[in-house]
Amino acid sequence: MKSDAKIAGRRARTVWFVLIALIALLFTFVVWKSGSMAKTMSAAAASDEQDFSRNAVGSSAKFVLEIAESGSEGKLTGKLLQKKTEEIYMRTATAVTVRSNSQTKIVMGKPADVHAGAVVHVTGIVQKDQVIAADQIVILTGYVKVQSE
Amino acid sequence: MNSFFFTSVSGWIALILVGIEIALPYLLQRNWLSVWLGIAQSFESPFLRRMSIHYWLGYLVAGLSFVHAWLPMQAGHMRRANMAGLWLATAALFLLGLQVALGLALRDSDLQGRHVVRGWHYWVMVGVVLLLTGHVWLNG
Repeated sequence: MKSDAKIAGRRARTVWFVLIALIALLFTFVVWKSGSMAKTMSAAAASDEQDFSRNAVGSSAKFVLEIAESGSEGKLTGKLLQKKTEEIYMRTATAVTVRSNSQTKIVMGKPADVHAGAVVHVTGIVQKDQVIAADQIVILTGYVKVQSE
Repeated sequence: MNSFFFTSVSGWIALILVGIEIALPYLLQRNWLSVWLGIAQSFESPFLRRMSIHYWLGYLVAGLSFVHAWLPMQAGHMRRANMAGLWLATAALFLLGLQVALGLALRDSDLQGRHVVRGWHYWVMVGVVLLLTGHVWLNG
């Protein structure tokens, strides 16, 4: 009888342990997922005017852009933004043209969020005419504040 | 982006805790599930005392949900969020407050009309789940 109770107790402990381990795994997953999303959003590596102008043809470029005009065939024009703090960006005088297509990955939003006035983080390749062919556009509108210089 | 991270983490963790909260009363009483899992055999204390983890997690869920709502409001991140989803979340937060009040009443083993209050506790839970599903769908 005593040994039956011991076995039952051990089984109960094992079940609780498995349940708690599953919950811990779920917690780890959501922390990792949220962290990677936040990291993607703050990956504004070359949001600097000088760095941007040094980008050679064929090299990859990462920058934050305030869209002024969203034209046909995925053409976006706007001004480069310079990172001041994690959530504040400054407008610069540098004009940027980006070209997106159906292959361009839209993160943290939908293609409809790419419009005039939107703030986006662009990752792409510098083309011959200094137009950036966008591989990925992260929608930052609402998450960052834009200030004039 | 820290506020985005903490808003996201607090929301998902609160959602997982809601799931645990719902499962706990079924796991902690003697029924086919707890017997099948083999945890019913280890029940020694009375049901209401075993439920103490359910009470404390309930307070934690309510607190965490409040933090989850307060963080983006304070950081000003609400502009691009879907408004319908935010209204669903607001209603869910109110229902969570009601759920805490009903839960506090149910802790009293001498409660009059316990069956009715338990019914309300169950249906408010269903309401919270539906509202949270809508909130996650629209804002997740």
